[in-house]
Amino acid sequence: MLSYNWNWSILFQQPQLGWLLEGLRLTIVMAVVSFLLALAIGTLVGTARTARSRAVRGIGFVYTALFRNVPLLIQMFLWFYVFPELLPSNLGRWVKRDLYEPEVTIAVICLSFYMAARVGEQIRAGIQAVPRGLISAALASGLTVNQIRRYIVMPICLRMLIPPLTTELLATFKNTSLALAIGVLEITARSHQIESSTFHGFEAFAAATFLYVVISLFTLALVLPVENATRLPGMLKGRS
Amino acid sequence: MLSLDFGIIGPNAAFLWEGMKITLWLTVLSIIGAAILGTVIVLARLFGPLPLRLIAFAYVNFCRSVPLVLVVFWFYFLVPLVIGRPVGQFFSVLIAFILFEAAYFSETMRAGIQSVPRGQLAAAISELAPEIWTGR
Repeated sequence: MLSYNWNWSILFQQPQLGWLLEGLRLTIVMAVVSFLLALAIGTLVGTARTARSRAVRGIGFVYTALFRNVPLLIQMFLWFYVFPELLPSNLGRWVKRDLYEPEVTIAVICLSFYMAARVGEQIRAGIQAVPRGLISAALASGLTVNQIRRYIVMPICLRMLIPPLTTELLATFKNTSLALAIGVLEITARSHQIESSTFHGFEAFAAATFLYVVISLFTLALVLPVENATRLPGMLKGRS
Repeated sequence: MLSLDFGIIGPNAAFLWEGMKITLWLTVLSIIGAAILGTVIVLARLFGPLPLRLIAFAYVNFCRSVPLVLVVFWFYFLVPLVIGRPVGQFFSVLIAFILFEAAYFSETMRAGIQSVPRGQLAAAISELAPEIWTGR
């Protein structure tokens, strides 16, 4: 430890600084896009898991089981190496060659489907946590089942779910790091690149760690006001 | 279009089994290590003196805000530097897993400890209290 040759200034020289900033940009873009897609797909999955039809519930269950139980790293490999082979050959060639930034796009797709399974579980829990009395009251006042879903269950469920969904958002940021396995140069890959080219691993990994911590704190600072503003009246921790 | 050939799995089964053994060993050893360390962390976090509580809090939240891959990189690079001689990949990854997962384990245990009903604690104290008081 004593023999380590410190040199923090390498982080602020080119090309290292440019590498880190480019990595930061990719991490943020990938995480935000994936999380938005995951919210959309996850809402569908969560709704499917609470549907009345047994077949629809089964589909939701299989989706969740499949995407949550296969390690994300393996899923990245499957999407990147196996998925194009399963497509018809023209389409497969297009995916491999002409897709816009293929690694990044595929990593985003993979991450969205994986996070959708996790978000779906949260949504299911949220839907089931909506008080039964409210649904009975809505039925009694003549709303249809779809109206109840749309105007009663989902608004309450999504507002209750802001804290766990924040956790999922932070997890999305961290999971983008696995995209390095298919060649996406996000923050972690960039810090590894700096380590290999300058032999200053300590500074490089410290910089990456710092960036992840800042992302987390920044996200929390953005979400906490939203959480406070949308608290449900009459619930525990809500406005009275 | 389909150029899949699952036949290659058979001849390579021994190869996969080697990987499987490493996965299983890593899992078992890191669960044991992380459970022990996680218990220490959660005790420090809930019942320790204030400085210790703050350290445990900072450690847990730090681990939770960093991706695992980065931690693995950290330890692959740090452990030889700290110990002064190279250790195998297996051990640096194992140490990374134990230290990282301990943070998550401690959070799980904290949820468990904190969900013990307050009345049970009161009951336990009232059971013991007379003995303590009459004892002296």
